Amino acid sequence: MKNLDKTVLALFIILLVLTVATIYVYSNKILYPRINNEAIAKEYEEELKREKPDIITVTEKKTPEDEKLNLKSMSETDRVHKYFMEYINNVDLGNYEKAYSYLYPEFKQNYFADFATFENYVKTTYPEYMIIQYEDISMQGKYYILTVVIYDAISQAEITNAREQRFIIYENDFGDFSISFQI
Amino acid sequence: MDQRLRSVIIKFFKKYGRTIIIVLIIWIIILTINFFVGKIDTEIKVDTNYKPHEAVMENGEVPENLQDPIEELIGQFVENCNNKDYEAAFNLLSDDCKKNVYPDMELFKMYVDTIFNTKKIYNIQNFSNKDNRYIYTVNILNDILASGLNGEEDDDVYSEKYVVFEENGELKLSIREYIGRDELTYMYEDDEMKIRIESVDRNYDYISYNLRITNKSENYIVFADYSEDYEIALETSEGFKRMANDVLETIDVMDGETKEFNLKYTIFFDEDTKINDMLFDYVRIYKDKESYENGEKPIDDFGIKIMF
Repeated sequence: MKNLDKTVLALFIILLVLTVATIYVYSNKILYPRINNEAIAKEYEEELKREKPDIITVTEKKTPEDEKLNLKSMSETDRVHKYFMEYINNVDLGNYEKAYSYLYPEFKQNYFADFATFENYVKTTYPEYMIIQYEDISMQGKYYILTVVIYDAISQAEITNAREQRFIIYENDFGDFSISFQI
Repeated sequence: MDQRLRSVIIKFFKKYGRTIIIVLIIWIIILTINFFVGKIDTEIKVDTNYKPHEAVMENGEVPENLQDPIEELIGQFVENCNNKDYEAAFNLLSDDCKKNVYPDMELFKMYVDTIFNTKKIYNIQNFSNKDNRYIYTVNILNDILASGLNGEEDDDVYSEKYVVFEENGELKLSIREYIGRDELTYMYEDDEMKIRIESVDRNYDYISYNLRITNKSENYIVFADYSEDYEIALETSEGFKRMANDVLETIDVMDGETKEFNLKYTIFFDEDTKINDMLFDYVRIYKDKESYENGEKPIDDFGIKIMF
């Protein structure tokens, strides 16, 4: 009799714990309930997508807000490098209009009054395949001066193709920058 | 069976009920705290090395409520200078700066035209703070973002100290490292002379006393010709004398004449040095200027100490 009482009690406690655990797991959606009916399952999945879109779209492009947060959490040097790479990658990929849009307006006016001049400059100045080496970074107040050496990736042994250039980067806001450079 | 089970359960809860309730309460508290803490938005601290309001000299801080207004004031001044709006730039200066550094508007225009010969950008760095005066190092350079560092002088940086403080409820600027002027009423008088120390102009790295000396006698008096060290010195709380900076002119007064002189001493504004007195260590009285120039001995020589 006593053994039976203890067994019952133990079972009761186990049942209680399982009940609490189930409620917790379900309320935090750690495990989803299994639904056998296909129609209901499909409707449930769509409901889930609406509730938690980021679970389904985790591989999609980050929102501007996410990008901003990402930039904010970066070190200053990394941010400057990112901005520079944003510009030079567009040059490298032939997205000259995008690269042109990053130029500081007064700098554009002074040196590349029209897009064709800029396009001609980058085509004749930069090799088709580039290697970038960061040499130095300095600041004048809020202006970053980045010194890089750009090598021709194909003939990198020929140092005559290495070009040291200074780029001036100004961060208007996170993700929004202006750039100019030594010609 | 049921009755037995019920009885067991009741006994169990009677025995352990209090413990279970306490554990439940603690668990609920932890969950609640966790829930609210999870809702708090943590502000991301942006990494930057540009901290314009952190003093280099580590003496005092610029109050937070003044940081933006100071930046705006200096920005406005630079913009006015860039636009050659001399009047607007001049009006941002303190009264003392206007009166004592640029008593003539043409002088100020010359300063603006020299420094702001092309469009300039600037950056600031708090250098030192004392007596509600906030001293900033201001670097002025060509607009490198517009030029892309392609100009010959793009690497040149002009640097000076601007002092910002409140005057009549408004923030004002004092440029060229000038702090301000204090009017003084220190004096020495005897039968032969009257020495008045009328005011002191304070710059960041030196002070300048403005003296008016009257020769009441019929002789020629020399106060300093820099033939000796410390002819006119300041005695300070440090316990030693401060010599006047190099002066080219002799401090001398002809019979019956009154002249004004200016004496500079290297004393930094943010030093804690107290000036106790001005010492005229070697005052010489000659019959006339010719006797002095011929190398004759003075009729009399003595020292004068004017206590502050």
